[in-house]
Amino acid sequence: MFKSLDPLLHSQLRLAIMSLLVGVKSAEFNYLLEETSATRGNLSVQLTKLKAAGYIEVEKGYKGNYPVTTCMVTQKGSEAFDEYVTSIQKYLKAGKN
Amino acid sequence: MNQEMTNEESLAIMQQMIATSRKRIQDDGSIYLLWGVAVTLAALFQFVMLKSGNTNGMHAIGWAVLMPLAGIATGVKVSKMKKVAKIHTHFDEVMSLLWPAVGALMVILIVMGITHVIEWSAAYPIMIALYGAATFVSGGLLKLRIMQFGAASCWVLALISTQFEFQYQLLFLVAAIWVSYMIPGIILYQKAKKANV
Repeated sequence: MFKSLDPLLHSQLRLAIMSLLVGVKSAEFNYLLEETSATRGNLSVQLTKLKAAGYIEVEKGYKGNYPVTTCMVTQKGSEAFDEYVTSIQKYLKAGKN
Repeated sequence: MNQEMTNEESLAIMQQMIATSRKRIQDDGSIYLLWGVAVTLAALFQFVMLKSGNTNGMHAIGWAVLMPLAGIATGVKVSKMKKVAKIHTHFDEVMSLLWPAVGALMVILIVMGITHVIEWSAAYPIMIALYGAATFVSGGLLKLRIMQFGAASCWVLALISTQFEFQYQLLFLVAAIWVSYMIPGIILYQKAKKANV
C-alpha cells in the first residue's frame, strides 16, 4: 500500500528548498534564490508555506549593516523530508517492476 | 518552479540540490597551510637553537611570536569567511567546536610545561597525538583519506617520539605537521583552486 506523497513537498520549488536545507545547518535567503533560480516573491511565498507547516524556521537578523534572512530545517521538516524520500523510492521501485 | 511534477523529476531535483549544497562543504586548506608553516618554523628554529647549545629559554621564542600571529591570522580569515558565507554547514559547526577544544588542551599542556608540572619531553608527544586526533576528525568530515592517514601517522610518530630526547621530538613534530596539515592542506588548496576556475 502506497502512502500519498506529502503535497507540501511534492512541488518543485518547495522540494528544491528543502533539499538544499537538509544538507546544511542554515542557509541565507539569497543562497536559496541563487540555487533555485526562483523569483524573490515566489521564494518568499513558498518559504512562508514551509514555515507555517513547521518544516523550517526563518530568522531575520543582520550581517554588518545589511538585513539577512536565514532558513533552517526543523526536526519535523527533516522527518517529513525523509518520509517523502522513502515514498518516492517506493514509487520508483514499483514503477520499474 | 512550483508546478506539479513526476516522481522522476522529484528525484532529480533532490539529487541536484543536495549535490549543490554538498559542494559548499569544502575547505580551501589555507588555515592548515598557515599553521603548518608556523609550527614548522617555530619547531625548526627551536631545534637549531637547542642543537647550537642555547638553553637560556630564547630557543622557544619562535613559539611565543609565531603562535599568537597564526592565531590572529586565523581569526581574521575565519571572520572574513563568515562575512561572505551564505550558508552555515554542519561541517563549519563541528570545526568551530573541535579546534578551539584542541587549542585549549594545547594551552593546558604548554602551561604545564612552563610550570614544570610535566616535562616538555612528555608534553610534545601528547601535542603530536592531539594534532592527530583533530586532523583525523577533520579528514573524516572532509572525506579526505590522506588527511586521516596523516592523522594516524601522527599517533605513530607521537609514540616513537617518546623514545627520543626533547630536541629530536621537535623533528617528529615537524614530520607530524607535514603529514597531517601541510600535505592535505596543499591538496585542499589545489582542489579549491580548481573548483573556482
